[in-house]
Amino acid sequence: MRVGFILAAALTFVALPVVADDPVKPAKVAFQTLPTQHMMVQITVNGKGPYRVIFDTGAPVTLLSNKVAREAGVFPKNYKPGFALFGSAGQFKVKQLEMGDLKVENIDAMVMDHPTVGALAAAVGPIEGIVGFNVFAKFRSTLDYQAKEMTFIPTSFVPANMMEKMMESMLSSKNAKGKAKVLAPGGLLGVRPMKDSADMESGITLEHVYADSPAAKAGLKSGDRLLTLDHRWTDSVSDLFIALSKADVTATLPLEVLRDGKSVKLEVKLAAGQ
Amino acid sequence: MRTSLCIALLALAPDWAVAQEVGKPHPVPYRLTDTQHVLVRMKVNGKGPYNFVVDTGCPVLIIATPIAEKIGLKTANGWATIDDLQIEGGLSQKKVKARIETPFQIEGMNKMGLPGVELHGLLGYTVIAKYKMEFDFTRDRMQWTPLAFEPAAPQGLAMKGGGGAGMDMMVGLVKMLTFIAGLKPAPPPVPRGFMGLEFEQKEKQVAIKTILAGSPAAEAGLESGDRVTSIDGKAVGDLAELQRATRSLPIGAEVKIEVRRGEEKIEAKVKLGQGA
Repeated sequence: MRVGFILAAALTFVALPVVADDPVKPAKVAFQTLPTQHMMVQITVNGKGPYRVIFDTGAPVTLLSNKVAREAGVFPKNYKPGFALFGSAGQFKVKQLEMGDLKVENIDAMVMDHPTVGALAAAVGPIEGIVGFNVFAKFRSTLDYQAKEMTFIPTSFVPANMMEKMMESMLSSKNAKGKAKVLAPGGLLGVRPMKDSADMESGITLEHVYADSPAAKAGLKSGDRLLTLDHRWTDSVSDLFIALSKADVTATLPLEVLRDGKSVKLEVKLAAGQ
Repeated sequence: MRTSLCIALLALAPDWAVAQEVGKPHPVPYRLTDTQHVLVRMKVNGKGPYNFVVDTGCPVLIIATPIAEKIGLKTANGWATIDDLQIEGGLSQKKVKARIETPFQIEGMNKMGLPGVELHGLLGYTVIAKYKMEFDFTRDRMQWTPLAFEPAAPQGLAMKGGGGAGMDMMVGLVKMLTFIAGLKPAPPPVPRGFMGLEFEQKEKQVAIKTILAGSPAAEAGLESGDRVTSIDGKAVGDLAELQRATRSLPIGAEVKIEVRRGEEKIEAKVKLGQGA
C-alpha cells in the first residue's frame, strides 16, 4: 500500500514522457479516413472524452478546442479567459492524452478554436483538435492507410518545445550572422567533386578520384557522375557532404554512378581521414 | 503469356519493378526543420530535387505555383498531372495529380527562412497513402513500405468551396505558428575543407596511414607513419579527438599539424581544399 503510494507519487513527479504497458510491444491506434482524407482518431484528455481529432504530421503542435480544455480541466485553476482571436488561450500542459492503446503524459497543447478545424467539422462532424508533431515524434510510429492503423514504440527522441525552439532560433540567428555550419563527413572518401552552377542534370561529377583512397578501392573513377550515396541524391556538392556527414567513420555505403551513360552500382567503405 | 508479359515489364523498368515491390521497406531520407516539419525531397518530371512537407493533414500533393512554372507543368483549373514523381530513396509514382498553388503556410515558412531549406510544396494523402510510413526521429531516415492500396480521389471541402478558396481550407491544418515574425535565415551550411590524409589508431596515438597523391596534404612534407600530436594547437590522442579538432574547418582554412617522426618534431601546414 505504502510502496504503491510512493510509486504513484514518484510517477507523478518524475517527468516520464511515456507510459506504455509494454515497451517492446507497439501501442496500436485505429484511425478513420474521413471523406476529406484526413486521419481521424478518438482521444481522451485527462480521462474525459472521447473526442474526435485529426492526426496531422504537418502540424508542429497539438491543438485542443476550448470545449475540450474546459471539460478536461486543461486550464489551470486560476485561469481567467480573456478576449483573443479564435479564442486562442495559449499553450498548456495536458496531464494525460490517450488514443487507442497509447497513453502520453505531460504534453504541450495549444488551446484554440482554429477556423480551419471549424470548417472541417462543419463538413465531417465534430472535430475538437489536432494531434501533431510533439506527440508522435516521441515514438517510432507507423501509419498505415490500408490497415487504418497506427503503431507507436517509445524512442529516446525528445521533441523540442515549439515556443522555446522559436525563441532559440530567433536568438541564435542574431548571433550567428555570417557563421555558416560546416558539414563534416564522418569518414574519408577520397574524391574532388565538382558541379557548375549552370549544370542542372542529376548528380555531381567526381572531377578527381584519388589513387589509394577508399573511393578508388571501391572502383570509382575520375569523371564518374555520382547519382546517389547511401540512398541519398547527390545533386549538389552540399548533398554529398550531407550524405557523408550522416555516416560513421567506417561505414560501408551503397552508391550509384553514371559512367559512359550506364548506371554502375558500387559500395564504398569509408576510412578515418580528411 | 503472363510470364512473358512480366518479364517484358521487368526488362523495361527493372528499377521500378524491384523498387516498388509491395511489402518491401524503402529508406526515405528526411530533414526536420526548425518549425518541426518533416521534409522529404522529390523530383518532378526529373526536375529538382524539391522539398515537400510530409503532411497527413493535406489531402493531396500541392506544388507551389512558381515551382510548377519552373518545371513547365501544364496546369488546368489549378491541377496538373505529373508523369514521373520520384521520392528520394528510390520510390516513384507515375501519373500523379497535383494541385498547383502556393498555400500561405508555405510562403510564411519560407519567409521565416530555414537554413539552406526552401519549401516547395506539401505531400499529402493521394501520394503518401500508398505507403506504410514509419517515422523515427532517432534515425536519419524514414521507412516507407509500398501497400497494395489505391487511395481514393480527394473530395470534400474543395467541392463545397468551389475551387481555390475551398482548397485553401483543406491545406495543412495547423501551420499557424509560421506567422511568427522576426526569424532570420542562418546561412546555408558549407562543406568541410579537405586535406587528403588517411589516419589510423596506433596504440594511444593517431598515425598518418596514407597521404593521397595530388591532395592538399601531398606537398606539406608529411610522411606515412608520422604520429599526429596536435592540430591547430589542440592535442590529439585518438581518432575522435582528431575528428573534433578538424570537424569545422572550412575550405581555404590553413591548418597546423604537429607530428612526431621518431624523436623528431615536425610542424606542417596544409591549406584545405575542396574534397571529401
